[in-house]
Amino acid sequence: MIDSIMTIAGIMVPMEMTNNGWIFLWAVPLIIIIATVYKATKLDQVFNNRFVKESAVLSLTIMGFMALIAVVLYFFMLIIT
Amino acid sequence: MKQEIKLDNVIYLCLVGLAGWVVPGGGHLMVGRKDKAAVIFAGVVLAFAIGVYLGSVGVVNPVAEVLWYIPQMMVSPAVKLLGMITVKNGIESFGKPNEIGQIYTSMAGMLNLLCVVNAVYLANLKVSAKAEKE
Repeated sequence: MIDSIMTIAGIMVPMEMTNNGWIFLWAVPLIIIIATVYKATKLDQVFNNRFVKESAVLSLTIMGFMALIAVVLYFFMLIIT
Repeated sequence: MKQEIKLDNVIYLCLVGLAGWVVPGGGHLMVGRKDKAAVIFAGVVLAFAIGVYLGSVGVVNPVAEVLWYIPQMMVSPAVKLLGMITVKNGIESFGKPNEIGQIYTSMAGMLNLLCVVNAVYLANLKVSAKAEKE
């Protein structure tokens, strides 16, 4: 654990990142990780088809709702400006 | 029937919670759920590593970013080492990489907190089942 931490500590320079709309795609890996770990705590058995399916469904549901909120906010912005 | 609270059981539950905090998935490993422990360890460590990769070790800053540091500490007490390295070397992280890195590392910590609570719950179920048998 300490070795892993020291390896991570070697990363001293932030990644270069362009500030545009594509930056929101960084949410996708995090959503997949959150859904997978959450389902691992909820389901009795992991490493089976049901686990993969439920994790994928939860990930897609979160992404879908986030996209929906983005669309609603976009149209709200168009109305008020 | 009222269940007696035994000191051994309380210590066991505390140890499970502590193991889950020290190493993500450690609590589930103690309860005997190796499969769940593997998924939790991989998920939490991956999220934390991506966060640090994006924003550098400067995303863990116990002085300038205390509110982000609290959930980051939920990943493991070893995160304190990263905080010490950041402060000692004066490493700073700014802009979008810093923001996204902080979100990733803090979410990793919050996920681990969820897993610690779940591990303690599973341990309690195990203790209760054992008590009922006796």
